[in-house]
Amino acid sequence: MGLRPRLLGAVLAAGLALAGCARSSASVAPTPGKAVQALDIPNLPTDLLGLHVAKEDVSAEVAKVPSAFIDALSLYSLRHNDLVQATLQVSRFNAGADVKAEKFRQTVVNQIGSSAPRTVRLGADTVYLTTGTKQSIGMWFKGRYLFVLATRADYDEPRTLLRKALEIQP
Amino acid sequence: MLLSGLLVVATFGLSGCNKASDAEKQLRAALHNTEKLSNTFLYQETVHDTAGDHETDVRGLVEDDFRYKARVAEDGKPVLDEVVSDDAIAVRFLDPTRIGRFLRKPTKADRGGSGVGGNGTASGATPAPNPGGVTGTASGGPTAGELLATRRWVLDPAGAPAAFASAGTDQALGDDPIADARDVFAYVNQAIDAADRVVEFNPESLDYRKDEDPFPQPEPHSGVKRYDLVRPNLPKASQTGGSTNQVTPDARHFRKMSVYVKDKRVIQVRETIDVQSRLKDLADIYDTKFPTDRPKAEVAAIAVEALNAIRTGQGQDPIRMRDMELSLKDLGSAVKVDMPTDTTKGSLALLENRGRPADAANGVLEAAAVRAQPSPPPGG
Repeated sequence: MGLRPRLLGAVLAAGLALAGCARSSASVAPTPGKAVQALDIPNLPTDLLGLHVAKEDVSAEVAKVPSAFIDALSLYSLRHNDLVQATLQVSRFNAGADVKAEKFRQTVVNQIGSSAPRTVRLGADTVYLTTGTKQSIGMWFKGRYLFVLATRADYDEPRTLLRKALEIQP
Repeated sequence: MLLSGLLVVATFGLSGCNKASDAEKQLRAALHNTEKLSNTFLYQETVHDTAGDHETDVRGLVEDDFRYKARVAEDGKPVLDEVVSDDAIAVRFLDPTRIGRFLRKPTKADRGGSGVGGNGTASGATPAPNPGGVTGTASGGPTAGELLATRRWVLDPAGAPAAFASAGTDQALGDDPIADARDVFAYVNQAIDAADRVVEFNPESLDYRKDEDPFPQPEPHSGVKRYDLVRPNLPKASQTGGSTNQVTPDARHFRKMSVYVKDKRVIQVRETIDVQSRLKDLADIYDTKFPTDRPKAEVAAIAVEALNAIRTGQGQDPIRMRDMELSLKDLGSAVKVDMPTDTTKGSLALLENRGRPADAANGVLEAAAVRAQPSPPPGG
């Protein structure tokens, strides 16, 4: 379980980012972290590009966030031989979030990662790319959902994995 | 009469401000609309220096940001083919004698390709273990350098370029012509930021000087709009910009750039870094004299060389005196990028910004080995 800090880091980074959004929009009531529910994604494959997909329990960590702009969240680990190669976090924004607005999206993605995100087009999807500590991070929106895929910097197929993950429907 | 004169002046001033702002918004919206679209492109760059003119063309097609193919030609002669599909990259040299420009430089040994975010780092200066040898192909046969020398395709399944040239990377304009071609929109956005203002082309504007306009006008009734970036004045010799260093002229002070837009999509970008037209200003501001018995182009090249000596001494990028043109076609059409089939697997880390980050140190060694080899005769 030495991998726990890595998983938590990703969750908390996003949680704080979302809390930051809530602060910037006074008219929207944020969701307390304790009220954020676990999110189930039907038809989620058990395997992505040879990596085993498993849901992680992060409810305790999410509960510590005082307020957020999301009402449901789940985190998945993607492992090869028990080693986590990537994590996928899926969050659902609450009803007050103006998810379609580019300004809102930029506010969210600007708070994730350690470098200014770069926007790329993959097929019909817009993906925001950034980096974390020894991680490559891709973010995209689908309806009211935010996907954050973090891969180890030394993982050989981050783009192929990203393209596969884009196929996941919430 | 005096009052009406003042009124006209004020009206011109206000309309000028509004138009510049609207033009910039329209241009940025067109860039935003177009960068999402598949396309075929032709990028042409001619660099002028004291040794003469050097032309590089890149033509290719873009399915999306992770899937594209490109052919590089230098002075009209095909040099390199490259195909990128997600993490995989295939490269062949049509003219292996020109490989030197593309080889990995020792000072950048810590940067490789791949990585979604684009800044994968090598594990260190020590070459990583590589079962295929220094550069090894998957079978342990010829190295990537040897294969590339024989014009064959080399496929690196995880070696796609990490990032395109942009602020925050140590890649300079001209280091990687394919990256330059793929990064023109970001470059234009930066040029807009650095410009004095953006105006829609209007030959009847009081500011317009036909003799200073190097670019073609849109054809009448073509539906094409042209947006021009207006360059700022040269800095004064006394300006220090908040540091002890004198502010030296930048590319933005010489840049003439026009972007052609049709149906709210960019179809062409043209740029010239025009030093010739500001030689007199340079002489006045810096209290210097340029020779009058030499062609202006030659004097401009000498002036830029002198400016670049100062700029690089201050840690700034040199000014690249160039003409650039990007033409886009088939916007939004069904473009598909396929990998070549006749490839041999190997590490392409010997090429700059290609190869797995973990192979970067090995790539430096192989690049040095390729450099050390005597060049085969062109076409041989």
